[in-house]
Amino acid sequence: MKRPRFNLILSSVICLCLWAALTGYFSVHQLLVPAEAAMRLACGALIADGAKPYIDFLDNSSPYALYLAAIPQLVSRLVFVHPICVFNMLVALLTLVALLLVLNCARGDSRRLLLVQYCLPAIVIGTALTLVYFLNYFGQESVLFFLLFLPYLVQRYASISNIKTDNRRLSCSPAIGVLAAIGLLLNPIFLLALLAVEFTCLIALGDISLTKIKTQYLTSELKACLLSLVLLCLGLFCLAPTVVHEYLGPISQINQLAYEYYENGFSYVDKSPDRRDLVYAFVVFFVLALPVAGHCLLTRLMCVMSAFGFSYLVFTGTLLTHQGILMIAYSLTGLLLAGNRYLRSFYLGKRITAAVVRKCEDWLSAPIGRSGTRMLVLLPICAIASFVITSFVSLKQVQGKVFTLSELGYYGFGFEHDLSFFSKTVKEASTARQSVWIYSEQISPAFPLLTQLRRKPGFLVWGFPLHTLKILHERGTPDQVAQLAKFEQRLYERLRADALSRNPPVLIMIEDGEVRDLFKDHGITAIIDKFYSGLDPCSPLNGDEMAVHMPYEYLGYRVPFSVDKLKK
Amino acid sequence: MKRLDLSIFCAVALIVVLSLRMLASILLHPLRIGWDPALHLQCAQLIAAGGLPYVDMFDVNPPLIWYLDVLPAVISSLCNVPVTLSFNLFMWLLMVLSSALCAYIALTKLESGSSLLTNLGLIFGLLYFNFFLTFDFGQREQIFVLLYFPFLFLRYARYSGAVIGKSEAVFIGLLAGVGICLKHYFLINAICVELFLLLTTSRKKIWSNFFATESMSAFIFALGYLLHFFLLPQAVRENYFGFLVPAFASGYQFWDTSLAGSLGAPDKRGVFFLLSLSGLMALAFSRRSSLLGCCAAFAFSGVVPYLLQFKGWAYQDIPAFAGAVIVICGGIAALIATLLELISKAKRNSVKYSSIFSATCLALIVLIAGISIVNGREEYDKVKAEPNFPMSRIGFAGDSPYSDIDSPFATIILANAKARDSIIFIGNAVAPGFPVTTQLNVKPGSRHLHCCILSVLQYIKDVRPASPEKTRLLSFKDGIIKEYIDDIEKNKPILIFMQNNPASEYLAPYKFEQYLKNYKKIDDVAGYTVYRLQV
Repeated sequence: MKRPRFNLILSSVICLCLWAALTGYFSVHQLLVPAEAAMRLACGALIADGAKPYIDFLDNSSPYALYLAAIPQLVSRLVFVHPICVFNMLVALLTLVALLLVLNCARGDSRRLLLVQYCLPAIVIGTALTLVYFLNYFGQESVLFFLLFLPYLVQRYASISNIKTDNRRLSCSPAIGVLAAIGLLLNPIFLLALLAVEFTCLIALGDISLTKIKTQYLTSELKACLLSLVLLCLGLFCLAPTVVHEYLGPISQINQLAYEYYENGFSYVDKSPDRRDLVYAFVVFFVLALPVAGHCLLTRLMCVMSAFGFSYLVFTGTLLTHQGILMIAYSLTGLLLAGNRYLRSFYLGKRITAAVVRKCEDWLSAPIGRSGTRMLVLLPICAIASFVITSFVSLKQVQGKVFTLSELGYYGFGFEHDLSFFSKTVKEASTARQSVWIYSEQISPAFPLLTQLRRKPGFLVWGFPLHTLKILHERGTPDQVAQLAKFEQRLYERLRADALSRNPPVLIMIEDGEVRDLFKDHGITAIIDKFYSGLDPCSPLNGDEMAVHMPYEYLGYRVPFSVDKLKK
Repeated sequence: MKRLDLSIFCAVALIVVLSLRMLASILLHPLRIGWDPALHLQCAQLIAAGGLPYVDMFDVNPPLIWYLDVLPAVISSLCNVPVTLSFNLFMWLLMVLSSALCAYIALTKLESGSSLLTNLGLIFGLLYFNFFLTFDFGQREQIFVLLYFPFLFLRYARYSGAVIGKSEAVFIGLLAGVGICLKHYFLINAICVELFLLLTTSRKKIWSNFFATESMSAFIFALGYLLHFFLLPQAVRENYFGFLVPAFASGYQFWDTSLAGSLGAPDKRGVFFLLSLSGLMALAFSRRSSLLGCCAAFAFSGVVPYLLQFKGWAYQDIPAFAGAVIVICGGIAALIATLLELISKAKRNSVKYSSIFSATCLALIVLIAGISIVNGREEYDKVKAEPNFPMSRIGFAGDSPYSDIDSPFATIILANAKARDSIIFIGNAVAPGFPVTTQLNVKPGSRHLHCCILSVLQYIKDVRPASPEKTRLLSFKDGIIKEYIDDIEKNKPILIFMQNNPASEYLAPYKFEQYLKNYKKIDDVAGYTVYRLQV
């Protein structure tokens, strides 16, 4: 029997344990999801019902991010489990698949593969630490991109370094390329990451020649990635041309204007989350990883991606915690890769590591029964133990009342503490599947609440693009205003028509200030006054709300919401 | 032409071309200066005239920059040229010195083969970033970059195994020591660079490299600077360590700027995109030249002091910006070198490579010189087309573009005061009192060059919880107001500019107007009420 490779086994164990722990945690917290992911899940539900993005509802995410969100919704409808729980389980599965693909890049007996195998624990531990630290942001766009793109980076490292995996085994490179392409399409800005990585890889070839480019550069994962990008773009263009037209038209214009007309109101402390600790951590990790980047292409790629993550954070302009995930995830992985090398550069460290590794390999390869080894027994035991321990600890730590999800039409249970702000008001004034409008300048607090309670959002899924359109009128050029005039007119007409339709929203919550003023100016408040009766306003600063629910990040002042219920 | 000759020629040509371009710009704008450098120059002038820091002039900044600025201040008074011009020439000298030292190390201590073009690119970047600073030209951050970079090159050469002479190591170490001590935050950059070098090189001679002559001389300078505080007069130490430092430490968050405001704002984010690009360049070419990585470590570490300073002011990211520009220029040069290698390989001719290499270097120098000449001519035409300010009005020969001093405050000062008259700006920021006071050769009429301290005290009063320390710090406010009153009584400033909000609110409880009975309100401009002394 072949001697098991310690790094491979250690990484497999961590990988399985991580998956089991995530599954255990989210099987307890079935309603826990970050706001942006919940918002896309709500869009996914609308798509599953036959709606078209940007035509039947408005959001500024890329169409691929929205269509992908329909998958958990469709699965949820088949198994009657809450879509948030399905989503979390799918992301946990993606974590497992991504890490197994990474491990697959290092499988084999050749000596050169040892180079990749040395890197595996750092990659897996880096991923695990990132996911655990950002557990409240599990499923965010950045997390999905990180997981989808990670195997691609490792495979590129192997290809460029001319490290061939075992030829007898099925190559996963095409699948890695396809996953990377899906990740890149989640947000158009991610395509810049591909350019940066490929530029670095090309230069890393060193002595660039046509033969080298053919054999080491244009390998199957790159071809699969590029082909998938082309096919996915063409596919969307052919299957939903109106969606593409709207996305490349007004939605992209609004995204561009939002970037151009930066909101200065963010510039004061206490009115915004201030995660400069993440930036400090990034700088430290990056600087410590940098010395190894010259010698190790994989560390270099991680550093390139972390620099990209930093510019992505800056590009967003809002600098919320989840926007810093890429920066931290890649720089931490880069640091761990570098740390591995630093450790092995010390004679004593190398000797001790070698001794420990040899002992472990001996122990793991010891036979149990006729065909098994300790290793084969160890893997499932660790996974089951992780699942049980995490579930047990999560159950112990939960706060607030538990309730059954049957009233929402699903199997399972949820905890009051996992619900977002204003859940009491929304629960009392509406039932599952009814339309509820919660409009403010940002995604929270409308989401994750509406997705958690299975309420349908309106044509405007959240406040997008009200703020940008308002700024456009104040600071935009006449040309810019004219370009979006039709779009704006259609938006408000649609809102008025929905409010007066046969199935109007049963509950409308509007943030005081800008959104309220806009609704007043465009005649929506008049409709609300006529057909709705006012309830007590809700405030995100209400002590009871703050005591019961988890805090959420919000830029600017937190002001109360008016609450209006449809008259019977 | 031999390779060595070519490299020396290229380095010298690069430095000469860009230095001359900068010199032309400085001579065309003899009065151009930013507010902070103008304030520091003013302090240096007062020190040169025998004043004591934190006694005869109040500002929170550590005094090293004032000591450094004494040199241009003295030269200005000896040669009777505007202090702004002598300061800008001093900066120009630093720029030339820094790039010349870097070129010297790159050409004599570092491997000159494949990384020659990259190193020249880095030196180009070191000169080039200065052109983007305009009103931030002369900030401590820029001085730090200029003084520190020869040290960075030398440290890199040391860790690469180069033989370094003692005298050059001492000189460059002292320069770096001065640069780092200008602001304690700069130590972060130095630590990150040192960490990079320690982790990059093998463990052989690690301690002898770490404690090398240049690092010891930088350390000894820093130690000497720290010790000098003990030698300062008692009043200086009491005011600085007993009041200003604790007050600013406690009230520093008065300048609260969020992370989003510091990194994401449209006027700031460009620097951080450049930084990311520099990261890509340094990483992509890290095998060709690890010096690029070292410079990238410097650039990225510049983000930490920028955020730690909490203000989000553009000049505070100069180390990050300069580092990014330097790395990008080095990276572009590395890319050109890579392409040249590709071409020569395609032609399978190493002799050809040498000639292509020389031709490319010469072409680049000609291109840079050409662009500098055209660009310099444009600046000259622009300056000549603008209204001129005859500097005879402030006691100097020559002209300056009026736009360099143009502000409503300058108009009032020129109409009511003459050179060396005293004026006071009571405002809670360095601007608008500076640079106009320094530019127009008038004297500050109070030891309080601005009243930031009153805002800081107000912040402490409003936000900090009650404590004996808070009470102690707030008790200084009465003394500050009294000092203002004494200074007005003693110096009889011809003009007093009083900020309407918040400065006059701080003074309102003291019925400050009663001390201005010899003054007549003559204007209300840009948020300031202007009082003129009635003779």
